[in-house]
Amino acid sequence: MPQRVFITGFGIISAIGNGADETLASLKAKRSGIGRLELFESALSNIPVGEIKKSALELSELAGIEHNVHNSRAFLLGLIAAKAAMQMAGYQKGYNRMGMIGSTTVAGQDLLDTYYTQMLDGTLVDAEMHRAFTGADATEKIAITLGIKHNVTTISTACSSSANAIMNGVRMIRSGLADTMLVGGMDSLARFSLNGFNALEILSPTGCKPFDQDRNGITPGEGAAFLVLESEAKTAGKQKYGEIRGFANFNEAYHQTLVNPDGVYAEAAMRKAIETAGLQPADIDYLNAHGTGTEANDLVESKAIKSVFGDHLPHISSTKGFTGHTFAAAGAIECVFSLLAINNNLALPNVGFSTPIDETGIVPVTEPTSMKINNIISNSFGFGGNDTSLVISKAE
Amino acid sequence: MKAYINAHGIISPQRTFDGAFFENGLEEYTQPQMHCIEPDYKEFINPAKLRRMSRILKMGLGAASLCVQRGTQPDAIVIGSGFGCLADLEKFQYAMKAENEQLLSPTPFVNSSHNMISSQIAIALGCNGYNMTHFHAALSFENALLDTLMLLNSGDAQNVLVGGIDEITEQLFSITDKLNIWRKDNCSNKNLFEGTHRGTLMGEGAAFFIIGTKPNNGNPVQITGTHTFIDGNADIVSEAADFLGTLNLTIADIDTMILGRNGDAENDCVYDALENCCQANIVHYKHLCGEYRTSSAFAMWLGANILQRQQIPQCAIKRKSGKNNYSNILIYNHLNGTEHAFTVLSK
Repeated sequence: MPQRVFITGFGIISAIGNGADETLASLKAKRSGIGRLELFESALSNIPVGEIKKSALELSELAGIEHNVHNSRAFLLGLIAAKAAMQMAGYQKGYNRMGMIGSTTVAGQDLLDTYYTQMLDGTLVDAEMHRAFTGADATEKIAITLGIKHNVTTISTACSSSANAIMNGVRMIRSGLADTMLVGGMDSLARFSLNGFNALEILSPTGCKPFDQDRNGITPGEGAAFLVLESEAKTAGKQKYGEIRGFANFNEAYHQTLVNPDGVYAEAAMRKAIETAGLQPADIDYLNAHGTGTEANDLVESKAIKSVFGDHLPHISSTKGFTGHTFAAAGAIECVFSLLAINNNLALPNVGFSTPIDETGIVPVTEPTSMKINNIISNSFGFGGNDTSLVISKAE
Repeated sequence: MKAYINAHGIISPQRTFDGAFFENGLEEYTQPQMHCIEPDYKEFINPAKLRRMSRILKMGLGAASLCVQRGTQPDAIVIGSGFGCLADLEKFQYAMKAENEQLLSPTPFVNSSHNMISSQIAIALGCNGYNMTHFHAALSFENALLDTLMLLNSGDAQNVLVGGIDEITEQLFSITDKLNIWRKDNCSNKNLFEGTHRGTLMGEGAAFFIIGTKPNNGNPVQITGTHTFIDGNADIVSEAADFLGTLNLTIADIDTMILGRNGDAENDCVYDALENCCQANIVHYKHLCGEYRTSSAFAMWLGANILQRQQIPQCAIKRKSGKNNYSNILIYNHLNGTEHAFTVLSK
């Protein structure tokens, strides 16, 4: 039996709220955070987004730090979530057996957008700003703020980044390299990613409709979530909010942006995650899908789900209709949603759905549904064919 | 469990891709940018595909292909990169502004994903296993290496392709040159360590390895361990001793240290204490590959060669001790005195 790894704290901020209470209230009330872009100018401001309606000043205040131009929005979101996770787990600061894995696509993209041209033409000469352009800077500043010194890394595997951060946090503890790991992800909305996904023609003009026959693309979102993972020995006398019981990562080795239409590696990721958890598909009560709302993802994911679960489908939903797709942060945000589902025995609703996909007929949960939940599988599939599934179980 | 370097493929500012470096000696640079000496990629990449590839992808796929030719097909791929696919990020960032967010090609956006290299290598090799990209500045390569050791230890993989990769771009040079990071006096890399100066030379490279649980040759090099930490006021000697202790080694067991000196006085003084605390041979390497975020992958390649050849290339020796048998090498590199990384290689 591999060593068991539990969650003793978590923090979250997204378009549906800051912290567990606000988030749960929005999920229960089916209150989506998707709306108009308000906080920066863009030619794409007609595209619906999952924006956190707080300025850099307000986020700095929430994070408990002075406002500083070198702080990227993703860093601020990450620090808010990481501090909350640490506090919940009873840590004022890190210690020598605690490591950290952050994740992001381009944490400093808002700073790149504002300052890159000036840095290039020399009107701004600022080493700290140059460091802040990269994702590592966000992780590193969080680690330094929280006093975490050893084994700090940043993962970037597109939309599966923070699911991989969680998986690797568990692996670090099981390898005996750490007893406690702060793991999670952060990404902010910025013109860079909006324009990138717009150029790929996969942005939804209406707001995303995961698993709907008439789905029309993704809704970009922003947010951060961090979890404190701990070895069983370290959790004595502590409240445990869940266990990361199984995980798997596969690469489709198919295409940089297209998904393998057969869904074989999405299926393999789910199967192996369930197997490594020592469970059977029938043990899974609720499935938090990747469910981006694109034509391709939702069809392929539906097929893969049906291959794994056959006729005995668990309750299924994508929560991206609440937050939008928060990219690198999505895996950690949805892991926190899963913890809320487990601890409140509540299957979370899939907002934006009305008609099942013809080919697969999967009908997701559309209302918050009270039911006994012991095991959840959460999927995160990223560009580059990076497929990760996590099995999150009730702490017993 | 042990981990062995079973193949390496390295593209660097020296003639390393075919090993000619060991006969030819040091390649001289008198400009502050040290660009890679690249192989003819057509030998291992389909020419039709080659035309569409970004330069960093060619370097990565080239180094990966050299590894696979000399080793085994990997069952997992782990990449470390400090800046990732920077040229495409710059290209998309520029186009977005120039075109006022209209009619943009998605190609540079797609190619700017940090995990583009690891996923394109997976496609080229048909590798469906574990696929990860670490990008944490100067710790990127060691974090990828630690991930690799965990995969081998847990039995989740038997052969892992691990690489450190970063490229020079004109924009990166332009921005960092204004920050006074690079030498401005046309210093030759041959003379990088002479005198007291600020600034160093900019480098780049792709150093890839196949690490396996079993050696595939009679002269194996083992990766004994790797560790990273972040600390602006670190006591490097005591950190090194603590890390070596976890491997049941002491500083006295280390016969050779490869240190990341780069000729910048403020940067280099961080290495003094470690260098002065022992009698080990001292090797330096940044006059060979330049300063870049994953330069320690070059250092690991150099270390593996020292152990296999039982010889330190003359141009890399800073201090020679009486120890002529090389069995335990400590590699230490830091960035800004804040990010620190150790790796131990053993015969």
